[in-house]
Amino acid sequence: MDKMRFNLISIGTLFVCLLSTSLLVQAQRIPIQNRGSDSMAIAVSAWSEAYRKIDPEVGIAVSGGGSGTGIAALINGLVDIANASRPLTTKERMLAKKEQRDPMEHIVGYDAVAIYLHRDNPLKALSFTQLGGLFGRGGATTKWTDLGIEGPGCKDQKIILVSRQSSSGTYAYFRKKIIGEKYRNKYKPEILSTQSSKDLVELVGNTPCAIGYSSYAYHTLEVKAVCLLQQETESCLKYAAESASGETTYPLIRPLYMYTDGEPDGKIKAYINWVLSKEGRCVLSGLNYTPVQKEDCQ
Amino acid sequence: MSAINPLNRSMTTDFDSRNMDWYIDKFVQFIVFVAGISAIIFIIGIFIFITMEGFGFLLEDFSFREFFLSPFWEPSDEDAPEYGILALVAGTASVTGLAMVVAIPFSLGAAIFIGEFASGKLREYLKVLVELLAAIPSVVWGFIGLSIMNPLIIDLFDVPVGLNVLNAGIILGLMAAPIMTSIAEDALKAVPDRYREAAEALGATRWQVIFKTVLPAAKNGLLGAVLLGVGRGFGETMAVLMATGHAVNIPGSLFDPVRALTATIAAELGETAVGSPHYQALFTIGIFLFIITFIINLTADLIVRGIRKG
Repeated sequence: MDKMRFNLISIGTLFVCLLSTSLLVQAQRIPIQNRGSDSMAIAVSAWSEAYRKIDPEVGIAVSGGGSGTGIAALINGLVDIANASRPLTTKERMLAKKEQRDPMEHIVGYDAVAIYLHRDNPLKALSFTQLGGLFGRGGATTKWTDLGIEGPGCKDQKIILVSRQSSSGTYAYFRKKIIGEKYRNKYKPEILSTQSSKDLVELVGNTPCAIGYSSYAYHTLEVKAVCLLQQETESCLKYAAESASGETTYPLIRPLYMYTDGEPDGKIKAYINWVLSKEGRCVLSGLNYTPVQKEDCQ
Repeated sequence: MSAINPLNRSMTTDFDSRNMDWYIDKFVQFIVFVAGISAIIFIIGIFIFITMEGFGFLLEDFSFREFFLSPFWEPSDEDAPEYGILALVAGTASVTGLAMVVAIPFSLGAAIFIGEFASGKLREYLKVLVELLAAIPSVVWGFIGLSIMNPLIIDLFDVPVGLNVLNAGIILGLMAAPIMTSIAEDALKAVPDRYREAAEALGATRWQVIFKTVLPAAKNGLLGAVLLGVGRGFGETMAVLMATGHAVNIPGSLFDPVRALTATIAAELGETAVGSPHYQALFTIGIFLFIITFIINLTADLIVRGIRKG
């Protein structure tokens, strides 16, 4: 009997100890919940890591899932900062109003959307019209030979289209910019979709017939980014990561947003200010993103 | 309970501590009762929850024709959302069907070997290994599908893309095989030894004993094992999300990418606002899946129970 009582007491003590240590650990760091865009994930993790040295009291918890996921979490009150690679839609604004939230926009940088091909694909340039024919529902382009080239190692020259999942901000941006009214804003249904930019680049790198779009920051040696023409008559444009937002001529470039509920204050405000400072901008330009302002970072 | 069934120890201890034992006993009984009944409460609770969440869609935006017969699924479109699950059902069914083609020979063979041939240490090792196979997380299987099977299938079959019915079917087959093996082995073990002895006494070879006597006697249990595997296939999410290619497409061959019902819910639920038509449509898929897996599991259970009694 005594033994049992002793066991109960020791188990109880253990529980109390565990609970108090976990509370202590939490008390040491002020958490900032940060969720959303997968295109921004590389930048946001680099920021949060670098910020640990600036303010050791703050712990920034970063998770992905896509811009839509981050915005939904902000509206549902689950996060402090939502990352998004697209602005809020009118629908989301209405929803936020209904939930009595006031999303405030902060542009923290710019990101180019690359059109990725397998590294062996000889295609040099693509126009917006050609891209629409590839990805838009009803578009007639299905074979690499339709574009005047032959993909090496690609069976039947069939084009394998790869897209992001529908919660992605890049998915929405690409739909608006490339597919548009001409194809009634609809993707071809047979497009493969991947859950993250990383998966997309990996899939395109492993598949000689594939073409996909994603943030430029995910560029690897397995894939190549194709040169783009907005108008058929122009010469094609490549993205140069060094240029600042005002200088770049690359046609598929969009702002990256952080949304907070209302005007941020305290630690959140300090963090966003730091992201926008020279130090934060220099983190961006080292990672193939374009900072809001050109910076001489050494 | 201890009052009716006194322990030897309680005769020698004083009244107070026996009282303590009695309370502990009651308390444990209560915990066990709650744990036992909780499964029923949870299942009813889950059913009520998904029905309530999906009900708005069934009342307003739901059109039987579109939902079951349209191959277009694009609910995130702001102007003209499309809610057709035909392609998703075809995707789930084709992948599960292929998974069974892969898993049945594997698991039946493994069950026969473990149950009838292997003995001693080998048998124990094999059983542990089969259970270990069941413990591999599904996201790891999905990762194998994405980065190992995809290039392999492109090379071996000379097809444009390796994320397709074949890839997901093989992966799902390997995932379902362990549970099917365990249940099939149980079914074989349930066949009384006197059947085997009688067959051997009649001069049957080892193979004849298994094929003509043991397998027919265990057929209900084996069928139950297959059905549970089918249930596993229908419900699996992460691996099929990564290995099918997640393309809304009615497959014409083994090498076409598809999308599964479960994967659609997993990929899209996070972005939907609570209560929106998209959210409710996903829950309607949930109701549909729940009913299908419920029927499959119930049938499997009834069949397995059938042999235990008979």
